[in-house]
Amino acid sequence: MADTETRFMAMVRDNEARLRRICRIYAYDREVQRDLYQDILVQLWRGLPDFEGRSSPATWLYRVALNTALARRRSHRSKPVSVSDEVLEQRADPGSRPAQVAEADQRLARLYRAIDRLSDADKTLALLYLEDLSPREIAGIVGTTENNVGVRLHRLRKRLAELV
Amino acid sequence: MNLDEMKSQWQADKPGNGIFIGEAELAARVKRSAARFDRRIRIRDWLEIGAALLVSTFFAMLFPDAGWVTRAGIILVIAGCILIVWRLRAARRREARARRDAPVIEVLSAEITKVNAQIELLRGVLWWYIGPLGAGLILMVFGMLGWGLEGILYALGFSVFFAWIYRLNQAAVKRDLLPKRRDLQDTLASLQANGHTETKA
Repeated sequence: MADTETRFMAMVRDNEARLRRICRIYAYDREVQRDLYQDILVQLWRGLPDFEGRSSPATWLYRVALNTALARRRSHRSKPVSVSDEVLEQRADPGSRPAQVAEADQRLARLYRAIDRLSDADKTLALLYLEDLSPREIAGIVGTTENNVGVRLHRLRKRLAELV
Repeated sequence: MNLDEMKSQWQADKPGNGIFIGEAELAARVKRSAARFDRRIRIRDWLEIGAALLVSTFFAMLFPDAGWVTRAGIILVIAGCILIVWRLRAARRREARARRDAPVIEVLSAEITKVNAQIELLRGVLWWYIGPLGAGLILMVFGMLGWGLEGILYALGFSVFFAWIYRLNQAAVKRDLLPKRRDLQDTLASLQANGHTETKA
């Protein structure tokens, strides 16, 4: 048990930002993001003893996190989804930050807003693409072919560039 | 904007989400939540069996002194209780549950199978829930009160109650399960399709 807990905490520590980005694009406000984050951690904890290493730890983590996020989105479908307004509020005020940093933040906020407008399926692909996973890794997480991922990513990149 | 250039900025982003607790507290919270989740499932199973046992025992106690019509009703009610527990458990066993660490498409397909089983269960509620219990109770009412006006009024009351239960179940199918299935099918089709990108209005 102690070993599982050590492994679990190390995994959370190494992937915290990644998991929080997933929560941010699938949940509409901070409270829901917090609940989703906890849900994902619970599912990771429950699944960790059965993790047999058939896939890489990263693939396993993304699968559990995305499946949990998508399931939660379905059960909260009636609520509005707009993380981007909050993100923009947090980032739109340049305050005393250097102009370059403020501009970068604005770009990121626009990207979040663009992702927010995608379907759940495309959100998943966009997220994995931005996390810098290869088409092969994305195909393994989603359960489709590398070729399919390649074609979809090509169109998704263009679409996102337009939206941003 | 070049999205490839955005990757590094994206990966450097560390959204706060407002959780700032220590590791020990986090581990304890996660363990508590996981235990609560498992406990809820166990309690649900025991409640179903407990309720069925309670109802069956109560009606079985009436059996020795009852007339044959009431006895027929009691047998139907007890059989109905057994049928309900068996049907619910069988439906859950049939639900193909993909593990959470399976590929997204596999989990979506399993979820569709599960929703289909739930729809089938609720649409057939008349045969495995309302029918045996309702018929049993109405027989018991006639057995105990006779075939006069009082018996008819009670039977009508039960019929209205069970009709309401039936409507609730059908409304749940329409309101919750059909949209959920459509949503799952859309996401699945979208992930499997070799092509277009949908954008929300």
